[in-house]
Amino acid sequence: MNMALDEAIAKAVGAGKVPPTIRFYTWNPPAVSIGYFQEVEVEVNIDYCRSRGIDIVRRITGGGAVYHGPGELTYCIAVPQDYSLIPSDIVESYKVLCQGIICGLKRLGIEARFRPINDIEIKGRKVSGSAQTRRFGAVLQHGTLLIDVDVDVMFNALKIAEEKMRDKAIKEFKKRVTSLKEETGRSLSHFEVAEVLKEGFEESLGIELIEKTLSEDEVKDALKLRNEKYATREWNFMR
Amino acid sequence: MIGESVLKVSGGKMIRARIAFDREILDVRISGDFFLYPEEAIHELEKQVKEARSEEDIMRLVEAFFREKHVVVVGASAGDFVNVLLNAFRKAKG
Repeated sequence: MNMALDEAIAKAVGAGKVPPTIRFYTWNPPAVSIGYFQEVEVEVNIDYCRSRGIDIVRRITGGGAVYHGPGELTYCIAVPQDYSLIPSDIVESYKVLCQGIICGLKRLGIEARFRPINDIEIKGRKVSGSAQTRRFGAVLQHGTLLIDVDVDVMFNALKIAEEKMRDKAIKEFKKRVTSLKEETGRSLSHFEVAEVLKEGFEESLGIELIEKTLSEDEVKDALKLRNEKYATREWNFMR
Repeated sequence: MIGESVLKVSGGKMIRARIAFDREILDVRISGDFFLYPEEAIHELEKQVKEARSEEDIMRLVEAFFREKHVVVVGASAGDFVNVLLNAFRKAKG
């Protein structure tokens, strides 16, 4: 449903029916999302995901496969394509939008920086990745932020490394990837993190965010998109 | 025969090409974690490469595709797509 909601929001924003929108969310059940161009069988341990009740969904955005577990927060931003605060250059716009997360993390005492094209890192270790598309008259960017990492489930769900190479790959992964728990030394709730990110986006974009629920049309469109697209084998196993 | 090639481009993005060949190209599949705008253009690129008869055709078709279709690729270049497709084509031809 999350990918259906992101698309429905982007469409409504692009059509001028709703204001620019930022949404923070989690996944229940957990899920693996794969990039538009990825092959599901190459990236995902399908049997493992099925046995653990982990959903598999293809995004409308490019980029890599992501495990969305309980220790992860996802964000989605949709603005009209001609929105003055977002550069038309794609790489530049990643930088501008990721700045909201960087400002948010600063409120937790974390110094993070943007790493082109689409990552945010803390002292050289990745904590967040984003993916963007431009369609429906909108710029849609969604991304993941690691609050805590369950490396075992992640490595089982995604085909990151072959079985025999797994120990080495996990060690390597832990060197390259960090989480907010590791950086702050404490467990943070999704709400706490969403709140600082909200403030971060307000600060970096110079805007005021107003909390609202989705419009009836957005929900209706999302349900349709879920049933006719994101829940279908045709879409998820397209390649 | 099926030829497959994987290219890790500088910056870390991955492009995978798979070509099925039996006297002519039967199928082309390009996948990976790159960004291409508009996304649906990938299907058109695969369709065009399927019409190639030679390595020169692949080079010409891919370069023309990126030049003429106003397709923007982020995290890789048109040349990267040419290289990975040529490798897959050579392997498929055996």
